[in-house]
Amino acid sequence: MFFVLLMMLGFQDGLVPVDSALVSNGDWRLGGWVDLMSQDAGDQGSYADVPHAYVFIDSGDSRRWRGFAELAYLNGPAPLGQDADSELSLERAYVEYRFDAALKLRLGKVNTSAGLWKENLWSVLVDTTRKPLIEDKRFLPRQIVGAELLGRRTFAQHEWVYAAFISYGNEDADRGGLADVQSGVGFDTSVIFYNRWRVGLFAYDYRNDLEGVDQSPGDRQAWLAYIDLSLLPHRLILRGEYLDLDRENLDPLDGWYLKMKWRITDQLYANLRADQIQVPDGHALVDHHVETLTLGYHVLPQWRVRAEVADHRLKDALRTEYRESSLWMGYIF
Amino acid sequence: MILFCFLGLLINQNPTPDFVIITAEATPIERMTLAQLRSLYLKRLDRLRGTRLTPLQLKEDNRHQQDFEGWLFGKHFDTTGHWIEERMRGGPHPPMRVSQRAEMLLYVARNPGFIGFLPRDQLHTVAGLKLKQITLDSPRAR
Repeated sequence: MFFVLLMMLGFQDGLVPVDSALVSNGDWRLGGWVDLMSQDAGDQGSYADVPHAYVFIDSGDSRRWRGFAELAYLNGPAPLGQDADSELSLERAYVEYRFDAALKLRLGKVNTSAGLWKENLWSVLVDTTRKPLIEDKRFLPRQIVGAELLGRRTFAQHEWVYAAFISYGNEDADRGGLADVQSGVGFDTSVIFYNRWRVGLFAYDYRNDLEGVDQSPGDRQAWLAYIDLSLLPHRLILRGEYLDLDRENLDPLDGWYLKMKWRITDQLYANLRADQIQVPDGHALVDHHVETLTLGYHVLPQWRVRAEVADHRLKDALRTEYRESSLWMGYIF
Repeated sequence: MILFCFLGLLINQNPTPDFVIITAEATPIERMTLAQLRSLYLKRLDRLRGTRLTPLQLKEDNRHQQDFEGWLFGKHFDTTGHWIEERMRGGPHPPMRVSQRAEMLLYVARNPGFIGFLPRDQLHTVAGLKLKQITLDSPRAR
């Protein structure tokens, strides 16, 4: 009877219900996020400001072609001895051709598909305020300008996820990264078993063209292996990444992090991470080790807060130990 | 005694209801794996053996929707967080939502290629709607 009533109210063949997105106008979406951070790093200085504000526009996923553009205001804490420098930046801008939901081609400026961490985009989504050292030191270019093919396939109870890209370069060399200017080719591939365990590998062969960016210009070969294990489904997660970087004319270096996240409730979590990398200190490489404890709370799905303490240790460096503590709040709109 | 209390707590936990996947009789798909179903509902897949499939879901606060997500993705999967993340990544939009189960059944019945869900114990209520059940090759979720 109820079905008959609904039909009388005008349901017709082919009528498609409309989803209510958070901020959208039909298929178009406008969104972004902003965060606030207060950080104290002892004699490294303190910081209290708005480190990021992002706005993006997305033409939607219902057609073959899609456009996406993202603007960012970046105002993070400056490294010791450098002046704080804020900037407005075009973070991503690409067109996407969708062969189907499982295979896409992107042309333009995109985030580098590299393992589990995506530095700029994920600041508001990840579990910690401090980035892992292998991301923080930016040995890997965080973006590419070029073409990227990405997709996924399902086999029985497992999924294969892949991306391959050709990079022509990136014009953001002045942003302090060690590998901002590059051309090269790379891929990222991973398998997700039973929706719980993920293992993957990323490889990138690229060239730093700008002298001074990474001490010496030259070819780089980066390998990144990663795991993401859901020990208790969606409750207790173990995650790790290992980076190995060969550098022409320079010593090779490697780094890793390993973290454990416990979702105590649906809103509250604790995260413990240990990470290490070799960082340039003059002409030598020194070991930098950090242990980070984070307590995070999702007040609302879009409103997140974190408190964090990180202990740093540098072996054979001028400054051997320091502690960093921070309070962070982010809002996604 | 403690063991009995613990077992009692385990037994008293609300069991996750079992669901069946339904589509129009004219949809040329008879079976799929649970991983494919998850991919369809996460919009990572939109075709199966050449057939375009469109998943439907209920409003977020609908109890059946919450039960279905728990059954399909696991009890503690953060669906809202997932779609926020996808939105920021330039990923897919969530599946279309309808406000009531009856609407879902109607859309599915009248649009070959649409898929919906139903608690298994409600399957008998849709007789006469030209719907069929899609067999899941691994019916146990998670």
